Amino acid sequence: MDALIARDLRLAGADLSSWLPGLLFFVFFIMVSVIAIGPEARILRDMAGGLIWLALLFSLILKVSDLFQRDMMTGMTEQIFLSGQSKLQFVIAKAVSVFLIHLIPLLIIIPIVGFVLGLEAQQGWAMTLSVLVAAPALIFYVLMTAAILSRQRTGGFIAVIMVLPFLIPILIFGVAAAESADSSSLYSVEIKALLGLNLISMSVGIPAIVAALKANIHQVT
Amino acid sequence: MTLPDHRLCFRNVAARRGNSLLFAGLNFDLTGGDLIWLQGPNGSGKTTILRLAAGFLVPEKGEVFWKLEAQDAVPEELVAYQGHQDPLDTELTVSQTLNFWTDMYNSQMDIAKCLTLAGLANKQTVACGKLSAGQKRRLVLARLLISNRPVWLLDETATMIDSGGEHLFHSILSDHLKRGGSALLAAHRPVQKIGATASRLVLGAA
Repeated sequence: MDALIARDLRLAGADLSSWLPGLLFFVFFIMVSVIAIGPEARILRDMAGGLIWLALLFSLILKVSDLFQRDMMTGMTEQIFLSGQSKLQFVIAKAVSVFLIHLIPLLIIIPIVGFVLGLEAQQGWAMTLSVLVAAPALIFYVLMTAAILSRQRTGGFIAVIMVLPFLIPILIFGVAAAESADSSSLYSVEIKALLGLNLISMSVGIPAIVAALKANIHQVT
Repeated sequence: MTLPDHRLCFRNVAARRGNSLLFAGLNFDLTGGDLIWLQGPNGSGKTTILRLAAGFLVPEKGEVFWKLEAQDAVPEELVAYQGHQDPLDTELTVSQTLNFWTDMYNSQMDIAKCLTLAGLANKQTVACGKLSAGQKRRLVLARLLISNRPVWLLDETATMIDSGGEHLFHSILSDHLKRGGSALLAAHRPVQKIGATASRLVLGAA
């Protein structure tokens, strides 16, 4: 498992274009939204939570088609499966890599973007916290879509349609959690709902990811 | 170090690509010391047989099964597969790649020795993307050695290797067979030397 994560990190380090565009997209989305909405501080502050969550979702969806595709196309995935590595470990290693490579940079930049949008520091941290709590669900749903589409060269648009229904509950509770976390206690109902969504995403996502990758390996003749 | 006793069995296997039947009623056994050379024109089903043997495909009819020490086994325990692609990360160096596979296969093999055998000893810190096509194939050979698996499934492995490399490939393959390994080899060109001991499986055009 360490070897799989180390490999993903090395590849991400050698090829910035595998993760940097997602981060830039996040920033640009917020910038363009600010221009579109106008400089009214009160409106911006009210919309900040929703904007940040939307930018985050789009930036993750943007990555979907890359996550498994390259390895599937070069035959790497089938070699890893044939090497006798546990498939559960493989999926978890992939989820950890996605967290480290794609989500950590976003988590770091969220408080900064929140500050620009006029959020209080505490509200900014509440945003980060809500994304952090929802991270497993986000990752497993995105990975599931990526696994299903790993042999589709032009899967981008299908990916959006497939993954959105799964991400909408996370969006609903994520935005609500960010808003409630700064006013009430840390363990709000919304946070609990997100934790529940995490569990569903794992029990559905992990077997689905393995099955989808296997099906895509079997497809080649 | 010898390789464990093993057997790969095809029983009355039929396979299909799209609507056309590639072959039917295919029977063979592959066990320690055996080399089977798959021959046939493009599209005759050589790769299909290799992918069936690796467990990547399920036969249309019949059965493919694996034995290790006379026990039922899964391909993940005894098979190393080399398709006609090179599954290499262009950004990683040769030694990073082999270290990765050593971990994946949980192998005890000595990486430096495998690299020397494959003729890549002076290329350890070179990125895989900077290797020539033939050198990539040599790296693939090193990965086969690292895997330490008894059954090698090889799809045109010798193509693009220079004549020195081809000689090397044959010596690595015959060493593997001497250690009690076996191989299923799809190749257009005749397999020199060891080819004499190989059984041939000739596929007709589909």
